[in-house]
Amino acid sequence: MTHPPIVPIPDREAALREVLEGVLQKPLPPLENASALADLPGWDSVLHLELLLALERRFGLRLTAAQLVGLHTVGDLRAAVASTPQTPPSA
Amino acid sequence: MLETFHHLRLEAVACALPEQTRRVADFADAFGANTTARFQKVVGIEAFPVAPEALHTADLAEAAARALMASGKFRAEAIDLILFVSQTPEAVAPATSALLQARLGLPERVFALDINQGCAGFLAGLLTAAQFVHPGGARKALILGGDTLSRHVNPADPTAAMLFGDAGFAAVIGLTSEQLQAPPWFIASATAGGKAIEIPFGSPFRMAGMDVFNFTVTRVPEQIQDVLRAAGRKPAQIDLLLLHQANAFIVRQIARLCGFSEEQTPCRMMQRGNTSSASLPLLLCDLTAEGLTGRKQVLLSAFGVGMTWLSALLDIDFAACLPPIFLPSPNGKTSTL
Repeated sequence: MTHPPIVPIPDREAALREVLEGVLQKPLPPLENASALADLPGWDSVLHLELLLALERRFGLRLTAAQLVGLHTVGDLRAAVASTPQTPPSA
Repeated sequence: MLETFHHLRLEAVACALPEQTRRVADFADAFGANTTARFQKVVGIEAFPVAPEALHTADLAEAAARALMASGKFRAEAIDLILFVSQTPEAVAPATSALLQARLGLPERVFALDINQGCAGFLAGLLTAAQFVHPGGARKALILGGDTLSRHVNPADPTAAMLFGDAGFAAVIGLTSEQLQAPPWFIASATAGGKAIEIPFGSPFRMAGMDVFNFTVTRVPEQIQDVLRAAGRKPAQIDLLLLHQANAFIVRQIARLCGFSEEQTPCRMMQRGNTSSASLPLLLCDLTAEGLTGRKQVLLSAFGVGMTWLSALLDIDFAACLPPIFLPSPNGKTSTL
C-alpha cells in the first residue's frame, strides 16, 4: 500500500514556500498569515487549483469539501499543512 | 427534487464531433507557455474539437441520430417526443427540435421541445424525457443536444479560449418490456440561480472560476450521496461514476469526496475538452470505443450554468452506445488549427 508523503514538522514551512514559489514561478517575500492567496502575483482560479494539486502531491493533503473552499489566506494553507500526518500510518 | 422512474431503458447513445481540432499548446504565443502548461496539467486538456463555421450544433446532433438509425438502434416512426438540449440553437425561432423533426423524418405526431441547458443538459434531457415516457404516454423519446461553445468564448480569456470542445449527441430512451427486470432509475435535480457562468446577449462566455469550483466540490457530492442513499447503494457497489468533464482536477476531487476510486471515475478530457451537455454521452461513447461492454450500474452527474446540477443512477448496457463519429468540414477539408 502506498502511503501519502510525510513532511516532518520542522521542514513544513520551507516545503510550503517551495510549493508556492514553484507554482507561482517566482521568489516570494516573507508571507504573513493574513496574506490573501488572491493577492499573490499571477493568481487566478486555474493557478489556485494548481496550488491545491501541488499541496496534494507534496504533503498528501486530502481536504474535505469545507476545507477546499476555505483556503483563502496563507494562514489557511499553513493550517491545512499542519493538519497532515506527522508519522506514517501503522502497518 | 429526487425522482424514481421504473420501466425505462437507455436504448441508444451516439456522439458526433468535428474532425477539426485545436491544441492548447498552440495558445502559448497568446497566453504564455506557463499558462498553457498549467492549463494542461490542471484542467487536463491537450486538444479539443472545434466546429468550422458551416457546422452547427444541430448538424452534429443530427449526425449522431443518423448514426443510430443506420445502426438499427431506433426507427424514426417509433419516436413520440424529440428534445433538443443546447445553449447554441440553430436560430431564435423556430425551435431546433422542430427543424430536426423534419430533417430526421420523424412523424408529425411527435411533441418537439427545446431546452436551454448547458453542461447539465444531457441529464436535464433525460429527466425531462422520463416525465413523458411511461405506460399510456410516450413510448420512445429522442434526446438531441450538444453545443458549439468555441464560437462564444473571448479569445483573449485563457480560462475559456482553451476549454470548450464542440460536440453533439443523440440518445433514445424507451419503455422496457414487461419481461425485463429493469432496476429503477434515480434522478436528482437542483437549481441555484446565479451568474457564476453566463453568456449575456452580445457578449462572450464568462465564468467566476472560484465560485464554480466551490459549488462543484460542495453541492455535487451532496447530491451524489442523496442518490446513493435513495438507491440504497454504496460507492463500492457502483461500476462507474461518470462526471461531467469540466476539469480533470475537479473530477478527481468529486470522486474522492464521494468515496469513489479513480478506476471507477474515467476522465477522457485530454483530447475532448469540456463538451458541455455532450460530455456525458461522449464519455459513454469513448468508453465504448475503448472496448467497454456489458451492462453496468452507472452513476452520472452533470453540473454547470444555471447553476443546475443533476445526478442519476441507472443501468446502462454499453451495447446501446456507438463509438464517437467524426464529421469533416462541410468543404471537405480537415485541419488542426
